[in-house]
Amino acid sequence: MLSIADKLPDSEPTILKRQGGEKAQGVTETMEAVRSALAENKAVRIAGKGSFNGYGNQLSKESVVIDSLKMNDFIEYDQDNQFITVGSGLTLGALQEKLAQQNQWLPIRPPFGATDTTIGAIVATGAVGPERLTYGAPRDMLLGLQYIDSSGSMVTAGGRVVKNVAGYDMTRLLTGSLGTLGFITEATWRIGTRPDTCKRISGSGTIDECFAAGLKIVNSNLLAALVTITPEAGLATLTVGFEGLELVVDSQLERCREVMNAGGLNISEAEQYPVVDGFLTPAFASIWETPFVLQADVVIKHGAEFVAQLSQNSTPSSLLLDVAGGRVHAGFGALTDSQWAGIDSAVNKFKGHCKLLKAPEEFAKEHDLFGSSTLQAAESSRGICQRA
Amino acid sequence: MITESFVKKMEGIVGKEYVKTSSADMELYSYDASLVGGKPGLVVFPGSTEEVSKVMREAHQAGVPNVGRGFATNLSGGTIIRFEGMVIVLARFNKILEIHPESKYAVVQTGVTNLELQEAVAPLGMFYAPDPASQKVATIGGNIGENSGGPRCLKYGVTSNHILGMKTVLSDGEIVDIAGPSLDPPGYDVRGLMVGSEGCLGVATEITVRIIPKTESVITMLAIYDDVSNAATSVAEIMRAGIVPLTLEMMDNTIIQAVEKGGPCGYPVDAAAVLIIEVEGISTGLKEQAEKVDKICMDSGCREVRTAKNQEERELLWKGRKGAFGAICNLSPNYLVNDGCVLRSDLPEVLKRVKEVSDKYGCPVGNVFHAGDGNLHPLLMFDSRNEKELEQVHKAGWDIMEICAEFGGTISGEHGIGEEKREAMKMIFSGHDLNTQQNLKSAFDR
Repeated sequence: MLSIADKLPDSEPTILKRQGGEKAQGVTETMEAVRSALAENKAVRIAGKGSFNGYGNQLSKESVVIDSLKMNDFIEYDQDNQFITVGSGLTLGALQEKLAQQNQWLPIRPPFGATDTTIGAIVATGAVGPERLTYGAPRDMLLGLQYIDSSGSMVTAGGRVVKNVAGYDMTRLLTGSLGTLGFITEATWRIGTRPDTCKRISGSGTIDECFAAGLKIVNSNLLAALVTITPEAGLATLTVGFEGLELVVDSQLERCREVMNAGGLNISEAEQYPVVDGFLTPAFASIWETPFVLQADVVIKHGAEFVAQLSQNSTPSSLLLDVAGGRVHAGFGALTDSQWAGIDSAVNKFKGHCKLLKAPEEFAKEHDLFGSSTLQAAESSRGICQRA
Repeated sequence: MITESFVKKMEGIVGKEYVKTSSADMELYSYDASLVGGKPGLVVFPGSTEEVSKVMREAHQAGVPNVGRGFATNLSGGTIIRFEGMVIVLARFNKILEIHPESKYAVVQTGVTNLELQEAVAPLGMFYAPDPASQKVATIGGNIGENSGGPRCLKYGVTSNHILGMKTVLSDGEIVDIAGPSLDPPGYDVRGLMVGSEGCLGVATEITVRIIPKTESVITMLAIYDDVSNAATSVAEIMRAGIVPLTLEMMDNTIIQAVEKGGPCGYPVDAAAVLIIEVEGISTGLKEQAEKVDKICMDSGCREVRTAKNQEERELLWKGRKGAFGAICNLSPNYLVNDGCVLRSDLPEVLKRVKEVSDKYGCPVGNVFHAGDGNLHPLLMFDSRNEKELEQVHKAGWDIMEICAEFGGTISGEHGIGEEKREAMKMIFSGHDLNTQQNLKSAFDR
């Protein structure tokens, strides 16, 4: 292996030529801004459209805000090979609009911020909704990245082909790293053909009835795109979405209806929903309106038990359970220290973890928003960051 | 440097019977499925995570280089140690620890083979998506080391998409639990980083994998072509139509001949190429999807599309595909396989260029590969007893990697870099990119 003493010159690849990089729109200015901040020993706070402002723990040193919005161009779009490379400041909405012209899309519906979210923010936060059941998470669709590192230099990770094991998988490392490892300048995504239709069916009952039916659907050979539960006033609604060819979607809706019927749920008529926006925007908006927004993940089969404990412990004002992922998003008007500790304790019990995506500044100053329940992985991760 | 006292320490940790030093044993552990040869000075067989930890701690303190190894199906020399180091064999980690069908995960020890896992979850109506051709002997630990693919990865994605967590021993012996059965733990995606790191960042001993409910129906088709370019065109057209088949595999005439020589699998020996195409899903609409694929193939110059009538016919087609590498022995004593990846639309041109390389160096080539992913597997045939042929085949392999880089692809889609392709990394990464990766490794090497 190479040793640090044997560092390679900062050369270009000997054969592969890439589009984008330093030549892409806005990248040179961003590199200069990053270098200037480093020279002044200031931290860099990366900003896009502001969808995730306040996300993460408080910075402990003086910082400068550098935005990505000038890096908003389409660098390479190959509809036949189904990939697209774009600047990190481009919004998801603009990207989806471009892809729609060719009946394609990037199958990500970020819960908060929706189409106004920048591509950089989606990578940095790993934002994904319950549709990951069928389409995967951003890290699964990301083929390559370019980013400015802490020396102010450009680094390339991955590429544009769908299988690539050359080098460490820096794209996955950067995804969800909240911009702490580099300033993402462009991203290459695997894209797909838009489904012909998206339809959902809902059934109401107790949360246990909904969960039992939801779990049955998740573990059947039906190909649901997403399975969610929203509790309200002592009852709950199970909603299952199917996306694809109309014939296949309709057939699955019928079979799903049978499972819900057998589970004793009151079923409403199936409805169509838009491909890009999905149907969860109002539910997520209502959660985001609250001062505290929780994201908790537990082992799938404990989803309902965790929601029950959460409701006893801290009374969320709105909540959505992704049955297939074991993920809960909940909004709270207020959260005391003991309630936050109670949530931590509950996620630990169910082999999970939690974080506050949003909290008032005073609370954020005094608490670790990633929770005391962080697993050893998080500790290792911090250690690696300190050494890297 | 492996000293006598270091060997004694190893014997004290894992037991004398699990430490090998004889020259015969060193010879056995000096190679894997690649052409790269190594020179271990010591082989140990720990039986628990704690033993791996103690072994690695001692090695770290004594400065003994080491590498983890399963059943050595590695195709890039990633489990080879070149300079008198220690091989840590994980064959004793062969237990399936937990299966949770309801929560869709299983926990296995690192030495469990891919097929053993598949067979354990199948009766529960589940499967584990990655299915490398070597699955009978390739271990799950090896699969995560290389981020293995396989035919089904066209639809389900590679190993990295299906790993939830792992217990890993770092180079200084520290044991860390990286992620677990619930989604996206806080902190960096160290799990994603470890997958495909070829064992350079740590040795995994227990792995939590995602398992998936079996789909209802599958239709297997064999599309037969008189021209390889037409087969490559069909691949691009199927994907362009928005169909994501379960598998989309190509075999050319050389491979068909090799496979059929070993026993009939139902491939027409006069075909220039065949595609094995599978579509899966619920029964409704599946026949229509297969018909659409059939039409696309025929429209792009296919001679005939046959459909497997039953499970027996399906298994026979797959037996041929999965045994294709081994079948090369019917044609040649040795082969070198490359696994560069290019865009699907570049396949016809790249395949022509591969043939030119084969002609230039006098190494006959057979192609069997994951066409839907653009992941080439040219098998370059030679006789390793002939030094000239050995030299020529290495040059041919290098040229093929250059072609993949020239077309904007990558030098390895799933077999890894290992010892074999290390120098070729400069084809696709800048000096600064490589230094960044080296810095990352240093963060793990404490």
